[in-house]
Amino acid sequence: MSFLAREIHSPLNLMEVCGTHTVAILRFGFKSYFKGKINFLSGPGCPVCVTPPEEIDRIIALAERGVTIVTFGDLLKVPGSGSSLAAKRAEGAAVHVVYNPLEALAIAGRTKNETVFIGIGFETTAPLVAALVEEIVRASCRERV
Amino acid sequence: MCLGVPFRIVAIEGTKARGEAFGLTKEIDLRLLEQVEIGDYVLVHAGFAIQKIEPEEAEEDVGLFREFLAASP
Repeated sequence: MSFLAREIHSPLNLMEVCGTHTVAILRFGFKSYFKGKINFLSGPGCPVCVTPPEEIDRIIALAERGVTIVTFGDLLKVPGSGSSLAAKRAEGAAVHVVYNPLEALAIAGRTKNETVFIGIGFETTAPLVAALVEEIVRASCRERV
Repeated sequence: MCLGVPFRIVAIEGTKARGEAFGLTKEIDLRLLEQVEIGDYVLVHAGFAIQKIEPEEAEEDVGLFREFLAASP
């Protein structure tokens, strides 16, 4: 690695575009290896891959309690401290991947278990999660009437 | 998941629409936008139209997608 750093004669700017890259750069110590050689800039990556392991652990704990988990697919492989949602699903946990958050309503309707939609995402997904909340409120109002 | 795809609206019923892109037809939720008409191009993210886009811009995006797909192994 220090050999590579010596080969860089004028400082480079490198922008990562995904949270997975951000994590890899930190984990492998690139910032200190290439200090003064490469200026690492954070780009427009979404926050999914940098979700702290404790958050994933909490979701896994819910799944282990028998809660049905509904999520976007990109969260599946994000590591918790000991496992991931993909691994839990392979072990038989009820973890459903959806394209559209509203699909969570149909999944919740098919199960007697408590269902939780994991709304981890960024600006573009926030209004879609809000639409799901709107639908849930509307449905529960109907139930009361 | 971060990917938004331009669709052309071909049918509308209330806040639900059908859109077409790359020969694929998909149901699209329009509730986040106002005044979408048949023939409009919209950027679709996770089943929802999140932005109206100009036809020229949409065609340019579609061209870039095609280029990218053609280059994929």
